[in-house]
Amino acid sequence: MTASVAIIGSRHDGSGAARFLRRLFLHPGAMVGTIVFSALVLAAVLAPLIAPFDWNETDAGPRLAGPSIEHFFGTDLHGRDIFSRVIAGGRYSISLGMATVLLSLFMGSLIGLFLGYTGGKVDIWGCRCLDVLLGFPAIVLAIMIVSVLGVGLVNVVVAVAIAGVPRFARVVRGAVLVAREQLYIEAARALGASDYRIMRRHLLPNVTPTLVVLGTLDLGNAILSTATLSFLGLGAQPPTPEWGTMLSGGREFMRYAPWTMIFPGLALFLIVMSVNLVGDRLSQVLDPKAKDRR
Amino acid sequence: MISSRRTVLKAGTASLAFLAAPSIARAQANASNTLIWADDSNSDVTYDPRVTQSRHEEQVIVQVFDQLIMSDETGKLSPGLATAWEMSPDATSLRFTLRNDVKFHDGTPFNAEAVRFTLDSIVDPATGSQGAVDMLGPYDKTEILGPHEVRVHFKAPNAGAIDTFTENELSIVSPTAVQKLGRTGFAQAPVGTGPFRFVSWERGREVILDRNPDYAWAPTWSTIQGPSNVQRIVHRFIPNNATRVAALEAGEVHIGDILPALDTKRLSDSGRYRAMIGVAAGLSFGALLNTSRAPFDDIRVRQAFMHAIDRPRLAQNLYFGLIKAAYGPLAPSTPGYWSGAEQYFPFDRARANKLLDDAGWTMGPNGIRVKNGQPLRAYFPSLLLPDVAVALQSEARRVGFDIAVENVLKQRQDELLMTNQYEMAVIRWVSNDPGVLRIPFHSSNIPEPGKFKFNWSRVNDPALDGLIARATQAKTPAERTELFAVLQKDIMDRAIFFPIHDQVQTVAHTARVSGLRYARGNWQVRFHEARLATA
Repeated sequence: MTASVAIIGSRHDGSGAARFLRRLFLHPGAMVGTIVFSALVLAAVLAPLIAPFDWNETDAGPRLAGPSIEHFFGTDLHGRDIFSRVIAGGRYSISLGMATVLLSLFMGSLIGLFLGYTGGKVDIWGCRCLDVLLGFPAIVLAIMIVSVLGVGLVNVVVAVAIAGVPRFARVVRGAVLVAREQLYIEAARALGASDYRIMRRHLLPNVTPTLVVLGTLDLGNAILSTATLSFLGLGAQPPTPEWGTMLSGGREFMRYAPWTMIFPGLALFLIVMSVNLVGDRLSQVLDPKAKDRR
Repeated sequence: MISSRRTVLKAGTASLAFLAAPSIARAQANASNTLIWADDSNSDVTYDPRVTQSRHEEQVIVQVFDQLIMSDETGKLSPGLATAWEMSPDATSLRFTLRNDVKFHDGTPFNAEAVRFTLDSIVDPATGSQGAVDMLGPYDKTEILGPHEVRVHFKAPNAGAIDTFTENELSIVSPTAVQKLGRTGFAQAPVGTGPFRFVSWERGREVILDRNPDYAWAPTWSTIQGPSNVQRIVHRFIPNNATRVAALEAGEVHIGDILPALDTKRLSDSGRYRAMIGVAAGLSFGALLNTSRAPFDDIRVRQAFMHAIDRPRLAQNLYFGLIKAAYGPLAPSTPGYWSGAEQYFPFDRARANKLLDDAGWTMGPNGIRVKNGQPLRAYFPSLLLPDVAVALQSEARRVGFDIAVENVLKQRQDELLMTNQYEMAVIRWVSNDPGVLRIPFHSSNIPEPGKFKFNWSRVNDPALDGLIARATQAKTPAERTELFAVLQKDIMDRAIFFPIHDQVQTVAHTARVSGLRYARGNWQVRFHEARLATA
């Protein structure tokens, strides 16, 4: 409790939000992460304007040609411009990752809240089920789900999201277990608040910081997992320029035209790295036990 | 037990040696005169020739078994287990005179009874034959004329039967071994008369074959008449392309199955390796267009699609000159190939556009043609060769035709095909018999829910069925060739099959290996004549 006193008393440096943002970004890792992430997102959004070629146009140049002034990242087997495909690919890879995280966050929080708040037998059995799911590596679980649902981008999002649910549910449940023993919950209950209201108005806001950190940290994971499924041929369909699909298509030519794999791979690496850098810092800043740490 | 332990030990030392110094591993492989083949699969199930339909399994089978009539890769026939054969004038029976000096690997003498047992068991539904039973066609029975003489009877004329008896699937199996081991046991430890005998099979890892020291019944076209110079064959399963190439380059294996085009080219250009390119007989790799659904129910749309694709350029672009464009339903290496198909559907974008205009498809604002508010779109669930799908898609788009490609898994593809939810699908089929045309074009082979068959164009015309029946039941080889030409012309005229490129088997081996020969059909490699020079 001394920490909160210190915040109120010792510093007069603007509003809470500005302070939060400053603390978040005045950190070399987070700054680099933010810049890289913004650049990739911006490129993806503006792809139709800045791509020098139509990303699906075959014979835009010679086949498997190396990087040049005309084709910055070279061309692939079909003579498509890899630079155009990489920036356009961000539209798929990044939005798929985000959709996945939001979906697992939503489903995971619901399940976690429900189990944590309900407790008892329901909680015990629910947790055992989550444990079983956690026992599977997430990607194996996702592949299993895709093989049931069928291939395609939407199904990949659903599959990776479902595979991520147990992690979110466990964390949210843990946070709820702590929160529900607090006095103000008892007070709310004494005042006659319904279960739904307690969960929505009191428990959920309390676990939100945890969810934000977890969601950000998981975004890199989600982007990687969706790309992995596309790499395996279960996600994006031709001619979609998704990064995982591009990596897979370039595999056979790695020795002869390494640029077909290097640039989509690099884009994937940069996005995951940037998201993780921001996520790490976010977890430090939002950690209530370390509020004064820079 | 001892032999399997020795195998493990040997494999262990070989891999250790490989880690330490590749040259040591090579020297060891040499000393024992062992030839190591890297196969591009690891899902073999049976080595029973009567059951199999898999070219991977046949790569083992071709070493272990002999056929009654032996064919080389060009279709040149030689006596095999039969020294002479004679077709009856009405093509309903075939008389074989058999060798009397042949023994199976288990010591059982080869005789008329073994032939009858093999053929009868193929048509027995309990055997579960996938390939052989179709090849035998209208088989009736085998009549034993003497200890080394049989007459095979057919229910209908079968002029192609002589060629058929050169197929791996119709290899003669040891009756005593089948009776002793049972069907499953035999599938895992096959016993034949071939130049190599089966030793062991470690699933997913390797199969070991040792040479048959008694082998003295090689076909006349073979350069070696006695036992092989190679003592042992290790058939190693390495399904990953890159790993197989690396294993070949490290000297861990001597021969690599199906290598990517660019790697094959690089290896053979290096001078240290040789490439063997075989054009497989059978159906070309091509697309069957679904005539039961729009838009391919209109022949003009089918013709337009075919004119829109520049096949020679596609093949050159994707395979760097190693694979050629295909023009007809049959590959040129198939008996009965009709070269007239080569005149059909040359690349002509203007003509494609005109055909689509005539069919009422007008160019829409987004570059895709429309008719009655519907876009010109064909759903293409693609299981094989994704790069071909991308090339077709991009070429078709240039005439306003949207090919919606979806890369699917086998199970999903089968489901879509059976429930008629597709506009096109690609097929390939290795066979030495033009009768293979029955499989994708006869109306009895239209897939239905629960019945997975291969007439994916869903053409259902008694006229076409009649042509197929007449060609497969021709009485003389000349008549057969002529009728199959008529059949191929009919298929091309209907524009239901779009031939894309030849099916090619690309094998690369170290320059130290010589004497490799493709089996008929150009998929399997025979090792009987192989030699391994010292490094």
